Amino acid sequence: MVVHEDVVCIHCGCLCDDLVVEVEDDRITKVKKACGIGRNKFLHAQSDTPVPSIAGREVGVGEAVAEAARLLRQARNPLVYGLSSTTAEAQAEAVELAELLGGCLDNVSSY
Amino acid sequence: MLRVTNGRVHDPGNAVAGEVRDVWLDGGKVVAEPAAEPADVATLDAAGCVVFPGGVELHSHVAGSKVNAGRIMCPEDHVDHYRCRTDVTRAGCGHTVPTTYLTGYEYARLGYTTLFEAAVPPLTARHAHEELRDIPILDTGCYTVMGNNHLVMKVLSDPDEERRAARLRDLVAWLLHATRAYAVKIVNPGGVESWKWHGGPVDLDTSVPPYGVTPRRILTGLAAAADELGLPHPVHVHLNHLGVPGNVAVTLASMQALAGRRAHFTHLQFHSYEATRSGSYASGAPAVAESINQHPEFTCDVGQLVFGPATTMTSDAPMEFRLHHLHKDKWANSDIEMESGAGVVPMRYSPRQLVNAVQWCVGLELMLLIRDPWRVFLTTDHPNAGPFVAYPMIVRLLMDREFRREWLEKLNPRVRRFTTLHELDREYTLDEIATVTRAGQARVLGLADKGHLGVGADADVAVYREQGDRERMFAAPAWVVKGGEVVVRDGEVVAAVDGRPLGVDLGDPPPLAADLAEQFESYSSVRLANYAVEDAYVPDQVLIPCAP
Amino acid sequence: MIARQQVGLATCTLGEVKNRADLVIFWGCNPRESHQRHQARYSASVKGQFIPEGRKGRRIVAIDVRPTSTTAAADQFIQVEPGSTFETATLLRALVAGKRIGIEEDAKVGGVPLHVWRELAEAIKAADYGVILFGLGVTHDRGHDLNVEELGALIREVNDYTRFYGLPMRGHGNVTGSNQVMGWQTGYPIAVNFNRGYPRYNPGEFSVLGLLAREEVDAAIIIATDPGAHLPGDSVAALQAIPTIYLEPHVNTTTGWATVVIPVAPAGVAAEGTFYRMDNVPLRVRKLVDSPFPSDEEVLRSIKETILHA
Repeated sequence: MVVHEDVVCIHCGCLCDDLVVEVEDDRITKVKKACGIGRNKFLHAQSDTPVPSIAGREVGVGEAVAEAARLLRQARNPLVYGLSSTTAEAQAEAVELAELLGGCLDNVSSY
Repeated sequence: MLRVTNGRVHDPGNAVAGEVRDVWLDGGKVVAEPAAEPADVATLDAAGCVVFPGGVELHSHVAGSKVNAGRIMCPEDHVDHYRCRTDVTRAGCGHTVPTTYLTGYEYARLGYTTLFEAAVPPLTARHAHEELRDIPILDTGCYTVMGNNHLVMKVLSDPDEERRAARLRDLVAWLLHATRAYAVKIVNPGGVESWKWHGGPVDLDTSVPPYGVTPRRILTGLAAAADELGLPHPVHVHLNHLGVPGNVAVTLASMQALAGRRAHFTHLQFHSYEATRSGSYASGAPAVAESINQHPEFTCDVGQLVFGPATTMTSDAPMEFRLHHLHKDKWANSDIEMESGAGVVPMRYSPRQLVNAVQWCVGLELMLLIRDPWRVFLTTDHPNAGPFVAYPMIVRLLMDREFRREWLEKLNPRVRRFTTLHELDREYTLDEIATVTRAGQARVLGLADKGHLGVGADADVAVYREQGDRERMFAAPAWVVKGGEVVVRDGEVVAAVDGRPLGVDLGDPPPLAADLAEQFESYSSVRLANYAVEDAYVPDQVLIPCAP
Repeated sequence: MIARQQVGLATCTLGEVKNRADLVIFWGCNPRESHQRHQARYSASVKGQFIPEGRKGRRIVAIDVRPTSTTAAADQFIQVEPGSTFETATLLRALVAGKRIGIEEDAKVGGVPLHVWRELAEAIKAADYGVILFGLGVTHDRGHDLNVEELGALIREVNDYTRFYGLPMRGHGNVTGSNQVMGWQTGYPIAVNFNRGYPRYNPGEFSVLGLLAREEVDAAIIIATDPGAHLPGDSVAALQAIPTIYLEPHVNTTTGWATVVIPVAPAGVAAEGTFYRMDNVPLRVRKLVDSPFPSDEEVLRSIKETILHA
């Protein structure tokens, strides 16, 4: 078992950074100090995982990425949107994607 | 291998003053002329050009929380200033607060290859490094603000002089390492903490709550710590009372307090005002310049005013609040726990406005009255006194007294009563320009491989076509080379290489003292374990050695 | 965001609230439900450097349209009528400035007698370090951004008397980071359009709601956000009518209808990187476990490179 101390919670804008997270066999087994919602977020982070799919058909990640690129390239005015629960590093990639596509870019704080 | 040939080389660091000679570049460095002509050599024919080392900017606000607050707050700054994405560059926009990518391109287009962000609070240092990483082409670093830091003030409140000095040295090393920064910055020592207690402005000997230390002790303590650690750059000081008429008194007193210590005084223009009888602005530049002239241990940069729009942004929160009251326009502030503050106020400087005209003259007076170009540097404290893109025009003002006279005619005519600029005839030489824009800045930063073109220097070169109009000459270099690669041709970016982060080599500094760690854990909103900036934010950081 | 571009915002980090704030006003927010540790870590019961008594050292006021657990735990609950944020903030500005109010002391503003507002204005001026923590009840009340603008104006005017700041109680994980990153890369925090090759900004026109309402976008990639949970029904219907790509670590309603679903490693659990706290403090979130799937960052980079090399 590995015990991670001072873990930053990813649930809300508080980013409480004192969580203790226990990991066993690559599964999160225990979360201490978090609020109820934060604890659930960690405990369920590895469950309910979707499968990569195109129009409901299960595919590999590589194929899904290729189809995503094809759809976006084909579009005249694509929208890049969301960006709430991800890293600044991913957000930066999203900005460049919107720029490359000549499309629109927005997050959840415009409404 | 790259050869820059036929150009007049201005390399003041190596006492080369306009001689025609070749500069050879290979493997990212300046190399000696090879004995035999190499097979794979590219040549830049710099006939009719001057060849300078790449420009070095030691004081600018380009990355981090307050800069981005300025960007986000001021869309009106960006709307008319934009660049499209190209095959080699990212899109961007902004005039006084350009986006990170545009900041890199615009600096490179003026021949700059090294850049320092001048004020980073430790708590948001990750943010500054994230933005610096997104500034292309230039090598970058940043300074950590410490002049209102609680741990620093707590250590300084120790009456035992020896213990205080030793503990402060350890703390400064720890803070610099935790923030992966390059130098110690002081902003309005004690004054920002006083603001949080709604206290007034502080003087050199005002006791500042809650630790009862004075700005004098903060200044001298941190200057000594920087010296004793042997940091490549001395303590970088933004003095008390920025922008206030009569502040020349605190400026001179602070210099007196630091006499005998290395210190860099930043944006000195904002700190060189006498007060008129009615409490308005008059130039205090002659006295301040004289003080710099008399103290070879001091350097300064000017913070030259540029007429037009500016965005003032500083950790000097109380000063920004005062500025906000001038126009009652928008104002952003952020108090940063246990460390610092920040404020942002948009501004427009006008030549008809007497105060602005005086400020404009004071900056040029300082540049012309300080005799040693190795100790005064060209900055606009971007974007506080104006945007850095005005550098070519300021170079012309320094090199061309007729141009200066033309400008004086456009100012509020009363400015002659309060300044001495109209009496100054000095014109900068090309060598002196090379000194105040790169050679001198690199030297005071302790960057042995920057700011010159001797063998072993970084292969950062700026080539400008000789023209009578120095503004046009310096606005569009024929070529800029960064790390041996041509990044700008005829004033346009042709390749956007990555710059490297710059830091200092402090070895493995001692951990935070137990009492300070306890104080931190009790009162910070983050855990100590989550405070220090991780390696991922400064990939392959170049560490400059210290010389204690 | 728009309010900030009109008047700016005087603010502070959460540690300053903890260490200094002797007056805390929760306005239109219910942190005891939505930000459950906020009060214990930063804003109510926590002991601060200059508030050593913790909860007893602070006066806590809650302003809301209905009683909540937050209002119940406050020293004072001011129950206002819906749609009155702008009006009451304006009244407070006038009271703080000492202007004459031409109504009786027991006449009501926002459903609350004038004398209650007058007492609050006095408490604001008398505080050593006051903060307003505001939430959706302010930003989504009638007036929207204008409410925040008026609160911003109030906050800055109080600074003529004492330190007084505002902090938005921001929600999901790293919404703050999306504003920051867009800010430094495009110049604008929301609503950017690259049709002309450079960033243009126009909230409304280039905001997701407007774009979808006018059917101006013909494909969408949605990252780390559930539009089913965030957007109104007609916006979701507009998304369902175009090709959509969805990067998401968990099954939700949107994974049921998105054209392309790409599972990703959850950020801060199986992927590391930077999150920005509601007060703009950046923290590093960690990778605690391995995921069979790539991170958002990696997927986005792959899509970008596929397009660049097509």
